[in-house]
Amino acid sequence: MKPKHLFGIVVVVAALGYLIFGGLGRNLVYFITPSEYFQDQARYQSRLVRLGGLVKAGSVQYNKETLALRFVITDGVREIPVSHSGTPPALFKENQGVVVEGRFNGEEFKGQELLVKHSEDYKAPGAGYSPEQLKKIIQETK
Amino acid sequence: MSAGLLGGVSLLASLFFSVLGLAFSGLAYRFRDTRYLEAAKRAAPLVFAGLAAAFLALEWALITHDFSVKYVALHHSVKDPLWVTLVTPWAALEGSILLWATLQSLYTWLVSRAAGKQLDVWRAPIALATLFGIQVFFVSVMVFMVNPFTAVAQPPLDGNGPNPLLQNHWMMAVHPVLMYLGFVGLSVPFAYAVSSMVVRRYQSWVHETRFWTLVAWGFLTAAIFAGGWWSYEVLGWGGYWAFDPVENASIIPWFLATAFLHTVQVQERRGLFKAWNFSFITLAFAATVFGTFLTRSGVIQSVHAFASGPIGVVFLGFLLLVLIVGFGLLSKVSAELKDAGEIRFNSREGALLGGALLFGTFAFVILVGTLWPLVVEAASGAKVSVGAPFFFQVSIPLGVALLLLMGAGPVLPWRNAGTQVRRNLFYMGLSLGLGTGAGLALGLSLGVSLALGLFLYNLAAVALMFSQGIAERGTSLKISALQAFLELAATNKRRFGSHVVHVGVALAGLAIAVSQTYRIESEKTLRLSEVWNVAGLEVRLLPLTLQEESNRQAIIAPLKVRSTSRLSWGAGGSYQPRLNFYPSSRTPLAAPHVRYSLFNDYYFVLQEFDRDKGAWATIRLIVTPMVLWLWISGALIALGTLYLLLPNAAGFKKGATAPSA
Repeated sequence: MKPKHLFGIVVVVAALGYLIFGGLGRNLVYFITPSEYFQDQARYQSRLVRLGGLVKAGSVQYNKETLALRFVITDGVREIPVSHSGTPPALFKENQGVVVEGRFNGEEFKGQELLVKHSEDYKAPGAGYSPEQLKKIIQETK
Repeated sequence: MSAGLLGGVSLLASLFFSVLGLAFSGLAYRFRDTRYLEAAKRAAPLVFAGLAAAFLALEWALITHDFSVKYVALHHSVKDPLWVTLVTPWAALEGSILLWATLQSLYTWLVSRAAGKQLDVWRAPIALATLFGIQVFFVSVMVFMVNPFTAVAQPPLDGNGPNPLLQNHWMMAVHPVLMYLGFVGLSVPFAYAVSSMVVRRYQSWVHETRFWTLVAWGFLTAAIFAGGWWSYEVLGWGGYWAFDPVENASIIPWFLATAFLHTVQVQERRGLFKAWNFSFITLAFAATVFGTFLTRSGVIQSVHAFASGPIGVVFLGFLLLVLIVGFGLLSKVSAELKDAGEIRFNSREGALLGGALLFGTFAFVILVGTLWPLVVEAASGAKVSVGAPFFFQVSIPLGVALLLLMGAGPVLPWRNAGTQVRRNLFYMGLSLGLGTGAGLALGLSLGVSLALGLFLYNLAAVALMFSQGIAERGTSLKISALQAFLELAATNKRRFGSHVVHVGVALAGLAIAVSQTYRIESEKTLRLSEVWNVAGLEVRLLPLTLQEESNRQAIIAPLKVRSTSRLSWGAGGSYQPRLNFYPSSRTPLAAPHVRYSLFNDYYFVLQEFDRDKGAWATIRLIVTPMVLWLWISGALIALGTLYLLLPNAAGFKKGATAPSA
């Protein structure tokens, strides 16, 4: 192999390595629970993480005018207050699981996105509205 | 006879004929006897007939609401509209494997029909054996693991209906079928590659394989664009691509097949890159199996979250088998594949190899990003995901390099660059510089300016090649420019088709850069007849309405929109964003209302509404420029591919007499 080819290969491999592994390190999004956060706070401070847990009962405040959503996420042991801007998705309910992608900002977690899974397996409606209920709600709105 | 019974019997029959076809192909190879080959060929339509019958049986069961079939009970409801019922076979795992196998057997049949003309008697048995082998795998998976015709002891009166997301847009009738046609289609090039490695004929396979790869590639491309469209119009997040694992699973084989389509031309022309071609096509087919494994095994968390099950392990085994067969054969024959020729980097073949390496790198980087969460979890136990920013970060330099090569490659002649080429490259460089400069002067971001420059650079390349070709033919034959153009377009489909595809890709690059950079999002809770001034629009909420449909109920928030600035021209009118409530789903699904215009898209989503009095609704507006052009670029690529595939008497003869090394 000619030296110039070897040089070219080294450059390409190095660039690729930097591109992949440099980029990966900075763009890893950790999935943590509140307890895991308190075990190593410095590690997760001001970087993008996914915080998972339950929406604490009675903690949800939503202002539809300012679209400000506040709630407390808990794993039964530790709790973290979350603020988010935007309409809560329909599956978002007290005592339900939720995953919020965002950043820690001091004591508070600022959510950028509330994640809901699209599932191929679905169950019969449980806590949601039945068609009859829904119809009633709508008819009353007119 | 019930539909379930007919389906089950048809599956068993197709398994039997697949095994028979495999056995006859093996015998034909072992004893070099064409009578066995004839028998194997006859098995192919029988397998197809069996699987088509099974597929129709599933449709029959769905149409007649036969809830004694478990698949129907789980994924169908009497309330479904007819088109939803007809597409329900691919709404879940069992049915989609059946569709996959049916399409696979269709390809096998087409290959067996072509076997006399395309494949010689030495290669045909191996190619057919490979395809029958794949067939045996898929039908066995259905018969023994995920049978679509499993019965229910006590049939319910009505079922759940398919996933609401699949009922929300008619694109769902199209996208999965295109995707399977693309994925499955890559098995044919793989079979051809295996056959030529087994019989040690390394040159003749490339012509017909290029054809089959182009067919599969065309479907795959169309499927990827259709999937983006579906995501944009249905999911309500206003985007078309998120580097989700499932999306990555479709783009990895696409990149590898694209790489093959480029290096294969060098082998056709100069007999070089034999080993590259075998590798790329094996990897492309393996990537389709890998994609199936990824999306069906649940190892990677994805928003698509397909049902998981033991099927993942089986696909992993099949993936290993494909890789072992492909690369095992390649390593056995590698000593005979030495390239006898020098490659200059400033020649067509140099550019084609460079492009193929970039495509391969792209596929590799996306593979690493997709699998990295598994590596981190295995190493440290931490649960992570790789964000879309990583993929964008690596895609930008690779995309820029590809667009640069895409313009220059076809301009460069084979073997060596000459003076006219230097002048062409100069004009292209000038377009690149002027476009980027103009973008920066208009205050566009650096990335978008560069995308604009690259688009003009590629347009310049194609325009120069067209005009020089026309001028040459016009002066030498003394005909008008128009006639020269028409004659060239008719006789040199291959070159013109690839130009159309390249213009489409360049346009897609520009549309992606612009739409990813300049996107406005705004959300507001509106009271009835309140006016919202946003993004050059005046939005007014009219009273909410309820709409009853057979399979769902919908809340519609009619919006009256007036355009108040020149930029939002064409955005005025009424919009009906809605929330669809499906009985099988607790979550209502938002159906956005999109209006495309030449520059901006206006995308309204109904987020929430007043359930008590209907006095307010929360509306989200997403304004994205140039998404319409992304769909146009997809159409251009598809049309260009179709043009490439049209039978071309002159081109075919030329291809058949190309030098064989």
